[in-house]
Amino acid sequence: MTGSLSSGRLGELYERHVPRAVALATLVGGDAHAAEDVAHEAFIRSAGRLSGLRDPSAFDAYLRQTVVNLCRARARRAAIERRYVRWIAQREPDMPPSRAEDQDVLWRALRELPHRQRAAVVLRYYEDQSEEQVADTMRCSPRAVNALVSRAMATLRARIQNEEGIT
Amino acid sequence: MNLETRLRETMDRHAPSLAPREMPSGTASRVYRRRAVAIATTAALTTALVAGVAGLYRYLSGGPAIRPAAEQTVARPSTTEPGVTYAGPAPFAHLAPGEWPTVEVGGVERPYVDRESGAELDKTVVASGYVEGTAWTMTAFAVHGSGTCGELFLGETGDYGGVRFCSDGGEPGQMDLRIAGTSFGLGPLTAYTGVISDAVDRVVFELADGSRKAADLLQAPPGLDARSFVLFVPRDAAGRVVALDADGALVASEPLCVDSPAQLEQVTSCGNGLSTTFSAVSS
Repeated sequence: MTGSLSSGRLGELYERHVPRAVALATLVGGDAHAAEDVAHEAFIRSAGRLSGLRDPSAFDAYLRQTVVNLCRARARRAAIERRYVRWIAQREPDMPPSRAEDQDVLWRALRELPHRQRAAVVLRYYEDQSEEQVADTMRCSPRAVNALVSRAMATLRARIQNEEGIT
Repeated sequence: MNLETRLRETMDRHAPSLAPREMPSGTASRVYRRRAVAIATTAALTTALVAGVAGLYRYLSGGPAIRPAAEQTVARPSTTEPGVTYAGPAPFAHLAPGEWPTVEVGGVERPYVDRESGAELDKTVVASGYVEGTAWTMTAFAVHGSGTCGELFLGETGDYGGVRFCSDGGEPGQMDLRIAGTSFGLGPLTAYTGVISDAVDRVVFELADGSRKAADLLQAPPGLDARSFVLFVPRDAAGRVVALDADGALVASEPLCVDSPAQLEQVTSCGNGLSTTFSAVSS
């Protein structure tokens, strides 16, 4: 992998890395449609800085980090928009989930986790990253990752117990 | 089934397919554009940083090592005006008697405009280039009471000195051809500059050896009515410069007034259009 990429090499990179980035963005951001945009934008940003990376083989990690950051930014914007809509309409905020989503308690609970907890859980259990790798991606300490994941799992467990009555 | 396993299965179920997908058209150009912006930004920041450090260094070290000697200027000299001391050898010091200096027009990235003398004047660069590898710059501007003026400076920062000439206010006499001959200090380099009136169509140097050489006329900037010219000649060039009209008839003539190269470490100027001689010194 070199600093000056031809269009063909970019295409190969795109095919190899973007599907995984879309999946990550879907799980972290919770919006399948927005995930496409996030992954595409993250690819452009990461590939645009490829020549500046000290280790070009770290492209995958850099792309993952960019996806998480973009999802966080998008979540912030979405929260502001939701507050604004709530203030305008003076009614219940969120669109109700679809019937299929409604039936999947764990998925719904995952989506309702705070952004950082959700990102940590997705990176840890979907991307199968170690706590150190998650910490690197999220730019925090491994101990912070451990705390985020523990809190998220406790919340998920409680939700399942409440709604399904299982442990 | 424990929570972690169930969580993994849930995420696998809801994550989109990982099948390879084709890169949309336009993505590559966006990547290249982004990279170009990043490179330009980095270059700009680096330049600003270097300039800042250089400025700080100059400030802390008490100012530039070489500066145009505007304060050494003597206005309205008579025939020959001595300059002041130079710091080092000029790249044109090797010129032999009778040897025409090699002159190039253009290619100077930042033509020098003297801001220490007449900072309020609206000086416009009308020509620049290199003579024997040394940058030169000609500017034109108007001076109240002196008509149209020009300045010729040598050196990237005017460090080899220069001369100012004007169409009016100098020695009395004919007004169609006003010249200034200058011999630059640490090398036997001689230049003739001047301004001409609307009556003049061509400026030709007629040398004592019988050769003739026409000077390129430089267009006046908007708002000025006099054109100017510059010609670098051999150190011992003698003869006259003539101004001709469109029919080739003589309008005016002036003798080449630099009769000998300036003394080492001096700049000398002469001519009916001479206004000011600038030199450069080492602080």
